[in-house]
This record gives sequence, C-alpha cells and structure tokens, in this order.
Amino acid sequence: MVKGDDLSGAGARPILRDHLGAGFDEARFVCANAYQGAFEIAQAIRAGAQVVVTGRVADPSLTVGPAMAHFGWRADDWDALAGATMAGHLLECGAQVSGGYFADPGMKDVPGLEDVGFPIAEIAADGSCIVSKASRTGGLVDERTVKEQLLYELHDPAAYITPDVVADITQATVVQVGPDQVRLAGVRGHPRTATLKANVFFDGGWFGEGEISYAGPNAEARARLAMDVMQKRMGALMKLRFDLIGVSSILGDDGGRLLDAAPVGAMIDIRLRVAGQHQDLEVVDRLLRELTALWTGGPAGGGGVRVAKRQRLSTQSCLIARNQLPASFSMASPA
Amino acid sequence: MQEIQLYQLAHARTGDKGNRVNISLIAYDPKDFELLVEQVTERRVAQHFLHRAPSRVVRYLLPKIAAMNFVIDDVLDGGVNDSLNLDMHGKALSFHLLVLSVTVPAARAARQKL
Repeated sequence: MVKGDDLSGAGARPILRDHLGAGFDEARFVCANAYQGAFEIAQAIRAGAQVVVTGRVADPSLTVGPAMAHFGWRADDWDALAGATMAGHLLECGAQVSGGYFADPGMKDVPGLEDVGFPIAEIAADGSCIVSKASRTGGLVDERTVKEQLLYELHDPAAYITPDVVADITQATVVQVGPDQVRLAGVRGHPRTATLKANVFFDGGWFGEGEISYAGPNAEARARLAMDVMQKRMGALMKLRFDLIGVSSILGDDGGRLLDAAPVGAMIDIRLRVAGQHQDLEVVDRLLRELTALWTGGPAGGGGVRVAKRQRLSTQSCLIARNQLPASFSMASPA
Repeated sequence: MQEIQLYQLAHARTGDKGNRVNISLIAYDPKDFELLVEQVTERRVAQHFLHRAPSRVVRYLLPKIAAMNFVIDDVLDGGVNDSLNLDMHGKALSFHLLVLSVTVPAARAARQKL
C-alpha cells in the first residue's frame, strides 16, 4: 500500500489554507489529494509486493514504478524515467493508443473497432518502448495512433511534468517496426520539480439539465421559442445554457454567442437542451419542473422531455513542496 | 494554388486539463508539415475559436513527428466540473480545427481525396 496522497484530514488543512488562501472555503471542502509518483511503487515491488495499491498517483507512474523496479533505475535516471513516463502516458487511456478515439471512416480506418484491443508497451532498459496490442483483437497501433496519444493532454512538449521527471519529447521518434508495433525512442528527461500537484475538491452545488424535441414545419422556431420561455421563467434565478442539438450543441461555449448568431434554420427534427447549475437544490429542481412543464405549457408539438440532476464537485489545484508530502509504502498483513 | 480543408492534410486529437484544451495537429504526410507551420498559425487558430473567447493560444512544434500542439486557454467554461456544455472536455474541438482552410499547390490538392 502506497500512502501519502491524502490531504483530506484535519492535519493537512494548514497546508491547503497556505496554498489556496481565500480560495479555500472550509464549509464546502470535500477532499484533497496530491499526485504521488513511481518511487514508492518501485520500492514496494522491490520489497516483494505482488500487487501494489495506491491512492492518487500520476497516471504514468503506474507504468514507471514496475519498470523502475525491474531495471533498478535510480530516482535520477532522468532519460530512462522520462521514456517510461511517456510509455505510461501512451497506456493510460486504455484503447486510445490502439485505435480508440481515432477512427474516422475513409480517412483513418480502424479494423475491428468493436473488438478493440488494449495496448501493451515493452519497455527497454533505456526507457524506449515498443507499443503493440493484445493478439487476436481489433484496433490498430500505427504511427498515427501513437502520435495522437503522445500529444494527448500535453502542453509544452519540452516539459511534460510528472512527480517522477520532466519529460521532453521534442526529439522523440515514432517509427512503425512491425504490424501493430510502433517504437517510441529519444525521449529525454530533466530533473523532477520540487513540488507536487494537488487537487482540492469543493461542493459545487447541483447541476440540472433537460431536453425536449420538436419536429416538422417551423420546428426550429418552436424550439427557439421554448428557449425564450425558459429564459424568461428561469433566467433571473440562474445562468442557463441552451443547445439546439443538430444545429449547434457542442461547438459553442456557455455564453451562447454561436447559437445566438446562427440564423433560424429549417431543421425538421430538433432537440432543445437546457442546462444550469446552482448551489441551491431548490432552484435546480424548479428548473427541472419548468422544463417538464414545456410539455403542456410550451410551444406546439413538444415531445420527449427528459430531465436529470446531479451533484457537482468543483476543483482547485495547487503545487505543494514535496517535503511537505512524504509518501511511504507498507505491506498489508495477511487476513 | 487551391484552397482545401486542413482535414485533408492532417489529423488531430483534443485533450483537456482544467479550463485549458490542447489540440494536436499531425500531418498525414511529413512533406506537408512546413506548409502547415506557415499557414496554421497561433493567430489563425485564435481567430477560428473566437466564439469560445480564448485568452491565449500557444503553438508548439514537433518537426520530428510532423506535428504541432496548440494549447488554448480558457475555452472550456471553467473545465469539466464547471461547464454546462454536453462536451465538457472539448473532445469535439479537434474536428473543428480541421475545417480551417489551407492553400496548397494544385498538384498537391489533386493527390487528395476531394
């Protein structure tokens, strides 16, 4: 068991207050966790652990830990750690490197997507790796899938920061070396940073949304009238987001400029979505009742109302000095 | 010269962290990379996403893999936990980037499936 990520207890409260200042709202605080790294995972494996259970650790560290234990890397073998980190990065989203989140018929075809295989990374002593996937599965591992996943959720490619290392992929190479086999090499590493990232979670109130459909002549105008009705009934109580699914529903932001600027079209099958959030559940419940009331008290021919609500967490992040966040492992005693 | 959609020359993937989205743009053919570097600039991408009001667009180049990475700030309405968007991660935005137009020599355009 690797511990040291959990900052939810009263003992860690001063650290969180120090780092978030006025942003730390005690009344709404839920939990906080720091991202720990691979070092304690490797230590536990070297000490004989067959299964390691951790709290919050950085995703790539789950790959780096076993590789570190296997090859006997030191905590400052930066290039090797960086290579294994990028191998872990490629693996961390399941099939996203082996044909998932990739297929685009006619442009990027993926065979057997319905049976997409999970990826495998064979890591060498220098940290380079060959990515492949389970045999007799669908999916695809090629230079395109690996490049897409290499840059996934990455910002500066010269400085991908994890608890273990700062990885630099600007000189990395991605080369197909066999069917569904791609080699990633040339990743360089720089010393890890002096801080760890922590996520601090607060009660984010309630989120509510609902939808209703309109069809046939003038459907979009009726959907837009329903938008207007909802704005007038609820707009003073909460900020609302409107979408006309099929016209504009995901490209715009919550401000609604894109939809407002779009001329009324001639879609004959259209679904209106309304969403909002509020600290007060009463307000969100009222939104859902007003959405349901569009059936009998809204524009003509509205059908298929569905409403849903759920609680939300809001997040703040901060960087905390490592020496304030010691991690450790212990062996679980046999039951 | 001919105008074509970026979609014909490159593929892309969105990732998100907080209120920030990154979109990779990868040339199918490394020979097109230079052309993409010239034409798909930070300024054009910022303009293309104007309806999401980005506060900053930074482009990183990875010539060894014929790719670039756009980091676009403050376009996710606060991010996964705060946005009211159906696509709170901005996953679909990569394909919005691909509708940008690029100008290519006629011979290059002829090689594409248009």
